Amino acid sequence: MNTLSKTLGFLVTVAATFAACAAAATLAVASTSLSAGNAAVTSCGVSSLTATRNVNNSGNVTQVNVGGIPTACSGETLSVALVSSANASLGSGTATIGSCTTTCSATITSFGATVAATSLAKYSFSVTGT
Amino acid sequence: MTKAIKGLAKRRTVFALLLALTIFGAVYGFAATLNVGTNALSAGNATVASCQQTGTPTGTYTTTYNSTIPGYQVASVVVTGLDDTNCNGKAISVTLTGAANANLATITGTVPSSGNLTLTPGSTVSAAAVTGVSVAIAG
Repeated sequence: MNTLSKTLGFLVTVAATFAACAAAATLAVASTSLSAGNAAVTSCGVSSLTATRNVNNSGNVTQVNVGGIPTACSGETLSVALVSSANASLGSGTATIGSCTTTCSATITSFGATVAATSLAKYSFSVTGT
Repeated sequence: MTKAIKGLAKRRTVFALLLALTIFGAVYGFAATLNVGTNALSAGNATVASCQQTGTPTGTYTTTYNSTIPGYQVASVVVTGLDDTNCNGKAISVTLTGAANANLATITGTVPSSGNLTLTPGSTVSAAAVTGVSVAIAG
């Protein structure tokens, strides 16, 4: 009877051990937060712009007038770079495009540097929303 | 004599019953252990929450002229509308995409307490080439 009790006790212990191991099969899963999204970066319709410049008696550019800006660009910021024939920036300036009904225009009078009209070969534009 | 035989038979029945239960428990335990020990199948569920509870992250841009392009490049991307209450300190990744959803530049940073974040591309990105922006916040 004593041997029988010891045997049963051993077997019950073994069974309990396996049962405990089986309980570890439960997989705990957790996660940190994740947020993601996409958005289109649309253009207000500017594909090309035209500009004219005013020149003073010293031959320097005093003003750049940009016209033909789509009305969708109203309120956005226009940047204009005055560019040499070697694509170097001679000066640049910005202006806020005002409200308009048909097409908009903007005038820039400060370029951060004195720009000789003879050096000006082309303009480069950028319009950014706010 | 009959009483002794009956007692012996009774003990054998009890023994057999306990032995059967023990073996069942052991086999059950073995089966469960194999699932974990071999990683044959582990499964669970967890909710992937978003820290952006309020507001919409919005990308705005500054540009600067680049003679190499030549033209305007993206100087910085300013992300506004971040949920600074819940996303503060979390990693943010901003990708500028172009035609055919090509990755033009990926910029990483950390969501500040102010809710507005300014990021500078590590490479030259022509402003004219940008058609989309993707934002991910993880942490």
